[in-house]
Amino acid sequence: MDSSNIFSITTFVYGFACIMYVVFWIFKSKISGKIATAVLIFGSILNIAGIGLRWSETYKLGFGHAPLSNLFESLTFFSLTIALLYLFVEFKYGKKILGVFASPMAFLAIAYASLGTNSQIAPLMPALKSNWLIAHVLTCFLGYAAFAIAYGISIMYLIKISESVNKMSIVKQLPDITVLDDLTYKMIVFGFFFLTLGIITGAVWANSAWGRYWGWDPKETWSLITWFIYATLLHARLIKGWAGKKIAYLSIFGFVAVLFTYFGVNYLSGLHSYGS
Amino acid sequence: MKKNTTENKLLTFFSSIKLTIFLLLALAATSVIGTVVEQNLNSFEYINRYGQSVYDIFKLLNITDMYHSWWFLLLICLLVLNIIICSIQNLKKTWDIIFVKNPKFNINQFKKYKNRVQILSNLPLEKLIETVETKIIKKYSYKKTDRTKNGIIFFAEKNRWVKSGVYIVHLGVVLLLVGSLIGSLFGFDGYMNIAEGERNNVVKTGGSNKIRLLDFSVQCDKFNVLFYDSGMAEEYKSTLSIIENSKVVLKKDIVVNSPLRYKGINLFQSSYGVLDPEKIHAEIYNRQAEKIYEFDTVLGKKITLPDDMGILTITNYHKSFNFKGRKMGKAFTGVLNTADKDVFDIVMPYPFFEIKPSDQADLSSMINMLCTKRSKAYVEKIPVSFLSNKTKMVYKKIVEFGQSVKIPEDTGSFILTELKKSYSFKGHNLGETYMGKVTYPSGDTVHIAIPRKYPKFDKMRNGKVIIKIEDIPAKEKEAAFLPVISNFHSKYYTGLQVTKDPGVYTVYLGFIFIISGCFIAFFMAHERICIILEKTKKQTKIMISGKSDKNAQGMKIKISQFSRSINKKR
Ligand code: HEM
Repeated sequence: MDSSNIFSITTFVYGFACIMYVVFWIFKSKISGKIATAVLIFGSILNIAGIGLRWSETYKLGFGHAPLSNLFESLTFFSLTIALLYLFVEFKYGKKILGVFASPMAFLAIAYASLGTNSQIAPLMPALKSNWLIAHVLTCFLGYAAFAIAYGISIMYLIKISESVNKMSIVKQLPDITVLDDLTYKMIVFGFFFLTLGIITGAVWANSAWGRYWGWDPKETWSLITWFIYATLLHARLIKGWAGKKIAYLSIFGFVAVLFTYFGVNYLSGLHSYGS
Repeated sequence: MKKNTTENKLLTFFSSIKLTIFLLLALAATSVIGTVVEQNLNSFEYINRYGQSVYDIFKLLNITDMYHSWWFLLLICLLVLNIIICSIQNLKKTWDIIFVKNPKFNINQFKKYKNRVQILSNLPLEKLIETVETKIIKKYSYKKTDRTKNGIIFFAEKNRWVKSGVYIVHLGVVLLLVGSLIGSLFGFDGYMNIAEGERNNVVKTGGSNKIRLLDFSVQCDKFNVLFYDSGMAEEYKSTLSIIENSKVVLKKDIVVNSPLRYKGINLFQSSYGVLDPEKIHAEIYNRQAEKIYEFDTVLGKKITLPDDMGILTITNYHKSFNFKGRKMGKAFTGVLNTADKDVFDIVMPYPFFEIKPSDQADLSSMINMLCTKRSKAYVEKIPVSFLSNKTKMVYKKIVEFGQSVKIPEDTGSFILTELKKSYSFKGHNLGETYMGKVTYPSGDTVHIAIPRKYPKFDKMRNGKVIIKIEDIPAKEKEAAFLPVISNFHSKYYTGLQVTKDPGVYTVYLGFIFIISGCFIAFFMAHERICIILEKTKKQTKIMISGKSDKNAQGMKIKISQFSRSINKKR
């Protein structure tokens, strides 16, 4: 049993959790809600185990580095951060229905890792050998995960206010729009904090590795673009009092920028190596 | 009230949140351009990719270096102005909230808050007061009590300073931008290459080939690359010494991620390379004598070989050599001048396979492949025939390069000028071609080309005389020797990125401000609570109410906890 197998199993477990959340939503079945949460917890434990095992595998191969060094590893980690952050939100705010939109993202991330990327363990290239790697990736992905969940909630918001469907009973089931709006904002605040920290740790790292904290590399620039978008959102809300639909659209727009920072940039040239 | 002067209008404009939203979105949108259009390439590259007219637009708008363009910097400056003016305008209000000595509490407001709790307690008033004082308001930094006719009112407040969070963030953003400005004004970013054992103090900066001299020299004592088994680089390491006044003042190993910093200058490991080899050890195998000779040489040195084999000069080293369309990897090339004045161009691949004298046939073909005899046309006498168009007579003559010969029948003179390596005729390359010139008695001249492959080429011209190269020099001779490089030593040079950025501390301070300010603004809350204890006939009425800036949910939970802990007997 190696870490790739564990990740494959995790993919299925997350997929099952998604289904249970949907069942909970459509059939209002309390028991499937409980199962969904339990399965998602189990999935995250497997996910952690997979990452831990992969970490030890890098040692067995004689490289010994945190498994955050390529697209595959970052995706498995992204998946875990989404799952854990969502579970936190579920426990804190008790809105299980959010899982219908959050768990698929954890599932998609890890499914893409298993199917679409190269899972080979490779040694670290010299520039990645730094303790800043862990701090940088950890904070960035916490930020991304929060934005992902905010995105899910914003979609819910838009569904909820859409006139064509808001009479349907399953749509009525969704949390109140004020709750959705508030949660979107909370997630974005959380994400903005960690994105800021991620950009800062990245800059400090770049300064220690290449002698410059900022070089307008496409990935750097796109993370800054993302940051600008969410900063706009925060100010528009705090000062101009934007709420609801406008915030939902901005949040979706921001998440598109996150996705581009993460994946799209690989089609542009630059220093960040997660593309290959 | 202030009048609506231009000054005021400007202030309103620069402090407006509309401007903020516009600037932030404009920065986001324009930044995209620079990630799509690759920055700082040379002009040919842009013209090649986008065409001249697009390139003209790029130049006009500075798109090719857009993050340093005037309009991008203008957006940033406006943002700074926006932040500063906006903050100053709000600061007064916030200042009064934060630094007020006796904050005002309005009971009626507290009585309206939704999360207020009201209970009746059977405990005596004194006991309740004690609990409130020891258990609840202890955690608040500011407290105030008011005695009333039949009871007491507590006010408490904490984290008033949390309101300063946004100012800290904004100050951080300003510091960050100021720091980067300092960096771009007083710093530089360049590189230097230093060979092992050598020292240097010249830094090349920017694309415009500017240089900058350091106050000290950097010496590369040693450079080393470690590779993983897969061939991927694992680590680059340079041992550097800083030399000042011809004394070594600092010595350090630098690797990627672990630079050397000295006097505000940072030296980073960024690349490496191999210099041309020195100390080449070669062997030469004499086919006829079946002997191997060994010798040491360096690039460009003429080596006189024993047994009258001639003079060998190894002229060049190639990191990856293309030979007859094949990639050969590392190789040396050189020239062998034999005793009988043949000249051979020789390719010496490295590493070479072992020579097995038994494999004579293989060896022979190998030698023929690697040693190419140069044409000696320049020194040879060329047999040329002249065909008279009038009489159809053919005359043969031996011609040397540069020597004028008379063409029979008083047709004029002929001179063979050169042998061109290639000759293009109507778009076809005809290969090696003899070039000559005919001068008629009238003084007219005609230039003549005769490709080696087509001796009758001149017929086409249909001149008075047709010139033909009769006999192309004999088949190429084989080399009798095969030089082989058995090993060589070449020095590495280390590529250092050299930077100086006096603004980096300001930037880092900005980072600290931004992140701590965000933490304060996002995750901490200004909290105010009010507890009213009031004696009724038998019981005590308790009201607890409070407000938290950001964490309404948390406050609600807190208040219900308070109410439970007050009412506990013990
Ligand atoms: C890149 C630039 C900027 C960044 C990163 C930034 C960041 C922030 C942050 C993190 C907050 C705290 C939000 C909170 O309390 O939860 C904030 C609040 C605020 N910002 Fe900015 N800001 C920027 C530019 C500006 C500008 C140009 C203005 C000028 C209008 C401005 C005006 C404000 C105001 C008035 C608040 C207080 C909102 C409130 O608490 O009611 N900001 N900003």
